[in-house]
Amino acid sequence: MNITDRRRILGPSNAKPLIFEKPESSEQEVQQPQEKSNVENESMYIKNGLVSNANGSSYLELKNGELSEQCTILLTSVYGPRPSRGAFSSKASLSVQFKEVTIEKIPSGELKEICNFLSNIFSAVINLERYPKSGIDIFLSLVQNPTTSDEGNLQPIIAACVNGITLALADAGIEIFDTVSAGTYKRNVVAFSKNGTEVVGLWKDKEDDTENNILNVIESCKESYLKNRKVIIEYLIRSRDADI
Amino acid sequence: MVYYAQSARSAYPGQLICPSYELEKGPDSQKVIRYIAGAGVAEQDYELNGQNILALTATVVGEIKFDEKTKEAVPSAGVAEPKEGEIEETVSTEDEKHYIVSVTDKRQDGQAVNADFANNLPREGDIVLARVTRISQQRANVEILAVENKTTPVDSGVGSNGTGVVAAGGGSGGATFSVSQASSDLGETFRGLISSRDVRATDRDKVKIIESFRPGDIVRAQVISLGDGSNYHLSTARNDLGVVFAKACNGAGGMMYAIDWQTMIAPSTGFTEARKCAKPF
Amino acid sequence: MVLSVTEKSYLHESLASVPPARPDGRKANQFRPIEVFTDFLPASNGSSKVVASDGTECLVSVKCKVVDHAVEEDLVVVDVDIAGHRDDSGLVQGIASTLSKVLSTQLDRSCLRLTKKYSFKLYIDVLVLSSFSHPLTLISFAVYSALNSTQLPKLISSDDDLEVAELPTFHDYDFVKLDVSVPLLFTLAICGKNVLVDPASNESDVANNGLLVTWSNGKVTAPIKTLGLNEDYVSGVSPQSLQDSIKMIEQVAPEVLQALGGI
Repeated sequence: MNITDRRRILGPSNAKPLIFEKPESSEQEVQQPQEKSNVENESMYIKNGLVSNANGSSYLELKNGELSEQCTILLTSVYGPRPSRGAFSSKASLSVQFKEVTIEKIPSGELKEICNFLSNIFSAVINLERYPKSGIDIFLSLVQNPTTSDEGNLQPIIAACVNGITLALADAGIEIFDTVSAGTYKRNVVAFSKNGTEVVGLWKDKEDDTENNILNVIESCKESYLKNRKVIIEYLIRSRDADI
Repeated sequence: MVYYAQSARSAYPGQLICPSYELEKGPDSQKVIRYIAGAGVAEQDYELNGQNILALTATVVGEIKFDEKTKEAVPSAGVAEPKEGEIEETVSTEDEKHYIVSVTDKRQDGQAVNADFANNLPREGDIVLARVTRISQQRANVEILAVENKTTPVDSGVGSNGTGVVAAGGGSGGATFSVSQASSDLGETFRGLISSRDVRATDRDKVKIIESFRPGDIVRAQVISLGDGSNYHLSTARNDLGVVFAKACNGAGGMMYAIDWQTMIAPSTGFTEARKCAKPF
Repeated sequence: MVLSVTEKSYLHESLASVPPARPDGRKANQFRPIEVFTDFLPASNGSSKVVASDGTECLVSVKCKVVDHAVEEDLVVVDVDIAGHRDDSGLVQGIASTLSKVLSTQLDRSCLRLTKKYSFKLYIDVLVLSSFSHPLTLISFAVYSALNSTQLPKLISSDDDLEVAELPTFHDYDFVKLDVSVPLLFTLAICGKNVLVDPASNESDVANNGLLVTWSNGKVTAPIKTLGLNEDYVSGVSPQSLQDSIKMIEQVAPEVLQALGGI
C-alpha cells in the first residue's frame, strides 16, 4: 500500500538522508581557563561578571584535592535590587534559588533546605535596609557536580555556594557587611563573618564519631574559611586594580 | 594615629576602616573626630577584649574616602546622622570635627552618568528623572529613570528658590545621575505617581493633569515619600521641577521648548501646548 | 501577632539581657506546656495530637504497609502539611526533608523487619493545624509520641520466607507494639549571648539566629543546622553560643524524653 503524506512537501523519491563526517578532534578538548591565578591546595578558579545581563555574577571552579579529575563548577548571578510589587517593605527581600543545570542528583527537598540555609546567612550579611521596596534575587546554577548521588555529600557544594554568592554580591556592588565565606571540615560546613569570630551558618548533616566537641569542629572549619576568604579578597582587590 | 589623614587605600566588604570616633591630640588642645558612615560604609559593633566598639566597615569593593563635613552640608548618602547627644555630654568644650567616610568605585568617579543605580535607590528628598506612563484626572503615573546624585551646592545649600538642595544654576545642569539599568518593557523600573495636588505649589486644587503632563514626557521631580508597595510619591511643586523634555502632539511632533512655566512651543509648527515646565536655567 | 519595631526592639533587649527575661516568664531552658493525645485515629497504626499552649496544634498519623525491602529503599516516608503555608514553600519542604532524612537514617531498620524478604514501610503524615512559631519541635514531639504508640499487625507465618512465594500472614486482631528509639529535634533561639529553648513566635521574631539540634540514642547528633527564624534580626552568633545550645539540649533532652515516655 502506497500512502503519500499530503500534509508535507516531500523531497524527491531518490533523496538520501544527510550523513555528517565524524569530527576528527575528540570532544574532550576543554578550554583550559587562562587565568589560573589562585592556586591553593584546594584550588579555586574565580571569574566575576560573566553573566552580562545580571547585576553581578561569579563563576567558581573548585578542585577538591589533587586526585579528583572533575571539579565543582558553580555559576552565581545576582539580580536586583529591583522593585518588588505588593506590600510596602522598608527592607529588601532576599530570595535564593539553587538549581542543578545538568544532572539532577540532589533531591528537591534538600535543595529547598540549602536555599533556606543560604538565604538565612545572607539576610544577616546584606545591608538590606539600604534597599527599601525592592527584591534581590540570587540564582545559583550548579554546572558540574562531581559527587555521586548516593554519597549525598553536599558540604563542598554548600561552601561553594556561600563563596559564590559573596563574590557575586561584591561584583554587583550590593552592600554586604562582610566578606562572608564558608569552610568545611569532614561533614560540616560553617560560614563565618567578622574574621571568624561570628558564625552566620552551621550545617552538619552527618555524625562523625571522631569529633564530639562543636568548638573543635568550628575551629577546623575556620582554617579553611580563612584560606577561602583570603583568596576571595585577593581576587576582588586584584580584579579591581586590573580594571582601573 | 589620625585615620582621615591616611592615604587612599582599597577596601573590600568587611574591611575595618576606622572607629566611629577618635581623639586627635594637639600640643595644647584635643579634638574629637567623628566618623560618619557614607555610601558603601556601615557602622558595626565589634567585640574587642570583652568591650563593644562601634567601627566603620566597608561594604563594597572600592577606595576609601574621607570628606570633612561642614555643618550645613548633607551627608552624601544620608545613611546615619551622628547621635550628637552621646558625645556632647562628655566633650562639650572640645572641638569637634565630622568626617564622612565613603567607599567609592574609582571607575565611576567624576563621570556624569554612572550605572550604580542599585546603591542609589530613590530616597525621600531625592531629585529623579521620570517618564510619564499614564495620566488620569487625579494623578500621573511615571517610571523612574534616573536619580540625580547629590552634589554639594555652590550656593552653600540654599537653592534658587530658597529651600532644598538644588544644583548650581537651578536646573540639573551640574548634577550627575545614577541611571536605572532596568528595562521598562519588563516592568522592572521603579514606579512613581504625581498626585494632582503635588503638581505645582499654587492653586493646588485647580490643577488639571492633562494641562500639566502627557504620557511620554520626561519629568524632573522630587521624591516626597517612599509611598506604598508599588509607587513612590513624587512632587513637581517647585520652580526647578516639572517637564524637561516633551514632544508635540502626544509624541508625534517634534521636540518642544518651554516659553514660560506653563507653556511649551514646538518651533517647527509654532503650536503651543500646556505643560508644567521646569525652570530650565 | 505582628509586633511593632519598638516592641521588637524592647523584646530583643530583654531576651539578650542576663538572665534573659522571656515574655511568658519561662526560664531559658523551659519548654511551653504541651498536651499530648495518642492513639485516637482508628484507621491508623499510630497517631498523636500535640497541642501547645499558644494554640499550635499538630496531628501525626503513622500507617504501615508490607513491602519487599530489597526493592524499597526508604522504609520511612514523611509528608508534612502546614495550614497557611503552600506545600512548595521553603518552610514546609525544609521541614519535610529534614524529618525524612533524620528518621530514615536514624530509625533502626531492623525494628521494621518482618521476614527475610519483607519489611514494614511507615508512612508518617504530619498535619500542623495552626502554627505560630517554628513548628519543628512540636512536630518532632508529635512524631515521637505517634511512633511510640504505633501498633503493628502480629506476624503468624514463618519469618524465614526466602524460599516461600507467599506473602506473610498476620493475626486477625493481635498487634505488636513498635519498639524503636525515635530521634527528637529541638529548635533553639539565640538572642545575643543567650540560648532559649522552644522559642515562642514573638521570641522567634527577634532572635539573632535559630539552631536545630537533634537528640538520638542518648546523645546529640547530626543534623545540627542554623535555622532562619526571622529576617529582621538575623545576624552572626558566637561559636560559644552554639556550644551552649548543645549543652542545653544535653541537659534538657533526657527530661523531655522522660516526660514524653510517661504517656
